[in-house]
Amino acid sequence: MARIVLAKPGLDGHEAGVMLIARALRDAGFEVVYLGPRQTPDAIVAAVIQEDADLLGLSILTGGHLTHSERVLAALREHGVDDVPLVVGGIIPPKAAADLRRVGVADVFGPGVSLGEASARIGKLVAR
Amino acid sequence: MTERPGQFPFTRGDSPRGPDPEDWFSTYYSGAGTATDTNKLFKERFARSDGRPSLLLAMDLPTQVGLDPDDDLAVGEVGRIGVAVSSLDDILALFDGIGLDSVTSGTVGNAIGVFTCPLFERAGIDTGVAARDMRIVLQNDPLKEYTGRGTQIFPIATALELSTDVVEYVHRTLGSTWKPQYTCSTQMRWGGVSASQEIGFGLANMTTYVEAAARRGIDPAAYLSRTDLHMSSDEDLLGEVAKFRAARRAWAMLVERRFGRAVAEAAPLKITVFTAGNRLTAQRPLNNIVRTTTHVLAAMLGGVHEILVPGYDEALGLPTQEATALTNATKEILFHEAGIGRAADQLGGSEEVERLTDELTEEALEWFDVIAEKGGMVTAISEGFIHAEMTAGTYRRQLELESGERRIVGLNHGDTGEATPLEIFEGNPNAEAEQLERVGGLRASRPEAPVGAALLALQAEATKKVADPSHNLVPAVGTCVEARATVGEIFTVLREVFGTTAAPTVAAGSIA
Repeated sequence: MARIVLAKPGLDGHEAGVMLIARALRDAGFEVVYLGPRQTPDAIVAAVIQEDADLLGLSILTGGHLTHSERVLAALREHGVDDVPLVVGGIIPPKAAADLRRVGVADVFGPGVSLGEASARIGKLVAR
Repeated sequence: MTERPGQFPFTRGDSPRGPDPEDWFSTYYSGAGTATDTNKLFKERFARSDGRPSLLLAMDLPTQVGLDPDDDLAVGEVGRIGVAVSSLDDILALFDGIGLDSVTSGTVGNAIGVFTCPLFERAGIDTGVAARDMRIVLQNDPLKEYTGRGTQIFPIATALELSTDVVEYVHRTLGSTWKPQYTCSTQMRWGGVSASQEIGFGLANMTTYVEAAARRGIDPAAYLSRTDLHMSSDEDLLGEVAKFRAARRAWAMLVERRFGRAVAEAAPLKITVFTAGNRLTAQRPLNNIVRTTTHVLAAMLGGVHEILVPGYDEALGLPTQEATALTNATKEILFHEAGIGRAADQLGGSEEVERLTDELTEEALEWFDVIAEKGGMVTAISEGFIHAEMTAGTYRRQLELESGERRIVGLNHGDTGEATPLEIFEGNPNAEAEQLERVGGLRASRPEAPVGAALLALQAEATKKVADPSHNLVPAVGTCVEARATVGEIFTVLREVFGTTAAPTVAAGSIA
C-alpha cells in the first residue's frame, strides 16, 4: 500500500483542508500519516524517511507556499531523498502554481480541485 | 407574537430599537507587512471614515504564537497574513499620526492576550492618551484556537487562566471602554459545525469564561456587560436570521438557569459577526459580492451589532483596498437604500423564521448539554470531540458538492467558465527582512538591564502562577513591554515555565 505523509509547514493551523484530503486519500486506499501543523522542514523530512513515504504533501494557506516548498525541497535534497515527489495544496493562485512547479513541486492543488481528482493525480504520481 | 425586542428572552433583539446601525459601518480587521506598512493603510481608512472607525489589528502568525521574526518557525510568515507586532515600538508606529483616542482598536491574538492588553495600555501611556479615552477590544478567546485556528501556545488550562488575567485586570483597572474578552464561534462554524452546534458550542465556551472570571470575583452580570458572542453569518439566509434569534433566546434561558432571572434580564446576549469567508470561492470571485451581501443581510436582520466582512477576493489573498471599500458599501447600501435595520427584528412573525428559531433553540440547548455532560468545554476540546464534529461536517459538505447534491454557483453549477483574473493584493515583499531589521535595531538600541530584570521578574511571577492559577501576570508582562522586551522574549519565559501544548494532531486512522 502506498504511503503518503501530509504536513502543514509554518505556523498556520487551519486544518480543515488537509483533514479532508487525508480522509479522501485513506478512502482511496492509501496509507496516510498526517503530521499536524507547525512542522519544520527537518521534522517533515525526518518523518518522510522514517515512514518510508512514497509521496509528501504540504498544506499551505497563508501565502507562504513558495518559501515553505523551497525549504522542504532543500531539506529533502540535504538528506539525500530524491525519489519522493512533493505536492502542495491550499490557497495557491494559478500564477504561483507555475512558480512552484519550476522549483520542483510535482503537482499543485489549488481551490476547486475535487477530492476524487486530487486522489487520482496523487495516485499517478505514486505509481511512477 | 408575545415576545418583544429588548425583553427577556431577547429572541427579537437585545434592545427595543435594535442595534445602532452606526455600529455596522467603518469596522475593519486588517493589517499586513510591517507596522509602517499598516500605518499607511490605517491612515487612508481613517481619512475616509466618518466618526470613530474601528481599526482592528490582524497580526501575523509569528506574533500570534509569541515568536520573534528571527525564530526558525517564523521564516516565510512574517508580516504575511497580518502585521508583525514584535514590541511596543511597533504598536506606536502603527498608530503614529492617528491617535488612540480617535479610533476603536484591538486585536484577536487569542493566545497572547496577556501581551496585547498591556501593549495597548502602554501605548496609551506613551502617547498621553488616558485609558478611559481609549476604546479597546480584545478577543482574548484561547479556547477557539484549540479547535479552529491553531495558534494555541500553552496547555489549555493555563491558557484559560492567562486569558482570565486580562479579564480581571481590565475589569479592575482599565474601565468600561475596554472589552477584555469575547467568545468567537466563527471558526468552529467555518470548520464545519452546524448552526445549532455553533450556538451550543459558542455558548459553552462563553460559560467557561464567565465561570473562570467568577472564580476571580468578577460578577457574571458585570462580565456579560462587556462581552459578546462573535458568530459567523452563513449562506442560509433565513436559517441564519433564526440562528441569531435562537442564540439570544438560548443564552437567556441558560443564564436564568445558572445565575437567576435578574442576571438574565440585565445581560442579554450581544452578537457580533464575521461573515462567512469560508463560503467565498476562488472560482468566479465576483460572485462572492452577492454571497457576501446575503451574509450581511442575515446579520442585519438578525439584530447583530458589529459586522466584519471579508473581501470578495478572500479566497485569493488579503483584500485589496477596493474589495475592502466594497464591504463597507454593502452594509451602507443595505441600510440607507434598502431600509434593512430601520426597526428591530424585521422578520419576526414570519412562520418559517419562527419555526426555525424554535428548532435551533432546542437543538442548541441539547448541544450545550452534551458539552456539559462531558464535563465542560475544556474536556470536550481536549478529547477531540469538537474537532471531530467539525471534520465530519466539512467532509459531508464536500461529498455533497462533489455529487452535485449541493449546488454552488460558479463552482459546480451555472457558469463555471474561467473568469477575468482579478487584481490580487500584493503585500510588501520585503516585510520579513524589514521586520528583522526593526527588531535587530531595537535590541541594539534599548538599555538591556531593565529588559533582563523585567524578564526575570516575569519568570518569578509566572512560577507563582503555577502554584496559584489566579496570580495575575498582566502587570509583570506590562513591565516587560515597557522595557521594550519583544513578544518572543516574553513568551519564551512563559513557555519555559508553563510548557507548551502540542498542536492537536489527529492520527490518520482516527480521522472520522
